[in-house]
Amino acid sequence: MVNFEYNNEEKTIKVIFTGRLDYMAAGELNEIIQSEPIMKNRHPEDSLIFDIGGVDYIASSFIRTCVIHAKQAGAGKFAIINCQPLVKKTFKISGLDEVLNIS
Amino acid sequence: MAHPKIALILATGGTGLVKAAYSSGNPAIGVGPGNVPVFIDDSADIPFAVSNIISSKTFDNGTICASEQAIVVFDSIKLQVKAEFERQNCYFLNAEEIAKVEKIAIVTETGSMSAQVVGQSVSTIAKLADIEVPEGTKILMVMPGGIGKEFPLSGEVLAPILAFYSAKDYHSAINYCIDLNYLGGIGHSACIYSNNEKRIMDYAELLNAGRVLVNTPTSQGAVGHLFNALPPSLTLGCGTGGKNITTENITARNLLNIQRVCRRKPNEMWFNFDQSKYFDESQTADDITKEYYKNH
Repeated sequence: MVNFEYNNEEKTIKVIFTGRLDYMAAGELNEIIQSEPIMKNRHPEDSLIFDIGGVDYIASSFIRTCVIHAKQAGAGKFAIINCQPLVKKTFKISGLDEVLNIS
Repeated sequence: MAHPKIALILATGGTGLVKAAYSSGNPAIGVGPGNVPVFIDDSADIPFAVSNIISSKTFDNGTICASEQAIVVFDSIKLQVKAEFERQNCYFLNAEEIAKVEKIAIVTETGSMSAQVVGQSVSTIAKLADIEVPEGTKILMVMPGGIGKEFPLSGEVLAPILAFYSAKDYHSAINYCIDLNYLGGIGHSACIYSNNEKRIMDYAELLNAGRVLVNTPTSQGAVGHLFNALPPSLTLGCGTGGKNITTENITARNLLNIQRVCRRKPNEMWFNFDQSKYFDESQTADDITKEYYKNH
């Protein structure tokens, strides 16, 4: 459901999500992300990228997860990449696509 | 617009005008701007699609808000579609020419289209921009390189100027269309040229558009009657996404106060119906329906 990659050269943490991120899954994700050592050892200069290319559905609770991590990462240090169209539309409707740097 | 003698305001125009109408305190029907994406997928009849797009985008020099604003194709058919546009007398601008057209077509301060190009012919626009285009050019094709405020020609321009994008796969192509749709054209119109029914329905589901035109020129298609059963109108609602009250094509019917004379007509069937049967588990829905309509 979620994997972590750290790129030391680019100072980037990539969190790769797969599957359907409904209310239950998003709740479990928060715990997994918080307990992941890469995330615990994150430096303030590290950028955080959520790769959701393998996600075909998101619930509003996942949007909340994104907002929390975007705030923690700081301006210009958070991005969401590889959105599938249905997921992209959800972010667009929420009006958070620019704030969360969606592509 | 706030005058007490005004019965109803019908506002067709930019966001500012529509907002003013809705804020006036008088009843208002406002409709907003479009930024119509056209997705040509690899199952489409390309010469047919291009010919339709040209007939639509050149109609009244692109003044209709439902006119095509951007073409999105797969990388795999990009050259074929581009060649077809060229064969049918459209001209692809180079980077230098795009910069010149941008300058005269877009107001830098606001990022919106400039009134001096609205409804103007290709030759007039070329003169204004100080560029040379082949005689008989029907549409100026531009590749803005991206979508958003930093790519001014990715927004709505009501003139024979048409953006062109290619995407590596289906998801990327649809994402381009969603981005274009949300760049000032929410709820208005979108178009797909395809012979793949599943893609057509997926596209309709993913785009926020009151009208999704299928294998149809958007100017003539969205305004109704010629190619479909939409009510004929040049006032096209964009729904709540576009801050409008409706997604309908507005017609005279929307301007009428409809009065209904409602005579008392008690539903006597209820009194004759043995209501204890609702709680009888041996009764099926069909049994209850039959009992209800029984001629007592």
